[in-house]
Amino acid sequence: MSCREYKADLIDVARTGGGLAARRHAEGCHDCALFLEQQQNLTALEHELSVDIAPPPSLESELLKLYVGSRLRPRRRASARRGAWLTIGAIAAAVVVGWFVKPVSKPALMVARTEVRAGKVVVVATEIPKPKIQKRRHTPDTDPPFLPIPYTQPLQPGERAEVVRMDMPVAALIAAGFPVATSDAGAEASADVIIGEDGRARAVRLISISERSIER
Amino acid sequence: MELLQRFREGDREAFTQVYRAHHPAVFRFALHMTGDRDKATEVTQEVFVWLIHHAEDYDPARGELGAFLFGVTRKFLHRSRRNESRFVSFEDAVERAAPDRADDSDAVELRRAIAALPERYREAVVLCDLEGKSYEEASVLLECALGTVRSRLHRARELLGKKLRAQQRCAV
Repeated sequence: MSCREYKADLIDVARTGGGLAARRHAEGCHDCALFLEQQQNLTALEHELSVDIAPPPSLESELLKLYVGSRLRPRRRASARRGAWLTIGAIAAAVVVGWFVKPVSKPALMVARTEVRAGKVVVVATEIPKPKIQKRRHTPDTDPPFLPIPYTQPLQPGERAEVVRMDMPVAALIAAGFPVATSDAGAEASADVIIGEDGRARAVRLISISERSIER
Repeated sequence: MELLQRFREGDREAFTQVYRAHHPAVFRFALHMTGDRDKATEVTQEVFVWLIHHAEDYDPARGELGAFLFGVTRKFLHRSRRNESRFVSFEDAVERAAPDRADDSDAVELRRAIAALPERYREAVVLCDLEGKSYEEASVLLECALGTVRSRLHRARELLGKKLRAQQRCAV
């Protein structure tokens, strides 16, 4: 057996005391004797680490409080279930009432302006056209690709991410360096944002732009 | 069996008995693995909070509660380490840059050296040397072959021996 093979046995000698052959070898080999001594010192030090260690006593009382609190929860759950049924009932009632009540159409927004008719200035009320919201139809096949947000760490392979759809001002996208084809920087954009495990946004995919400006 | 049933039903006395029977092993393992008392306390708390909320997940037919809690502790330690590697607080960064060397006793040095070992070696040292488990018990807990535990332990002890010898030379 070589010294290397004996060393594996010498570790067991230092830990448990057995291994007569390895011990005899160490008596005649300087390197192995040093190794055995070092391993025996290590074992002695490890014994020092194993004594008198316990978590703070307050931990038990804190956990006990939590335990008692958690075992009271089923009652709360029952009351929550009752509340859920009440909510469902209320929604159902609202739907039934809404079915029979005719919806009242909202009057169109009017604006007053002056006109000259037959040499007289008259005030005329005209209707304000409703803002049209342009929505691009999209399918998963035609969705634009995600663009990484500049100066952020890219997603690591295997890192979990979440895609969140959100509305944001187009100006924010332009400021972040994304090419957005619109003449109205105040318009509202709908975009999918990839959020990494650390909660930071990593990439953005523009879905649609509406002409309606975000009211602040 | 009966104790666990009472634990599930909300018996305070049962909780106290389960906690007192298993918290020393959980805390010791967490402390040896992290080398940090506060972190070990935090992990111990997380393990028992988890048990409170998931007591039904333990199946006595699959093994003892101690072994089950050991697995839960390993998972929380793993999660804690993953979170730590992602964020380092300012205080920790300062501490790492200038570690406190006030208490440089051999035991403290050994604790630091163990905490710095790669996880698979650290687990072998903690279970076999510090917790006094046999190779068989450790192989069951670590879900690997007995020979693997032995070789990991030997490699870990060689590394520790070298590290401590180097530190002793520096001290001289």
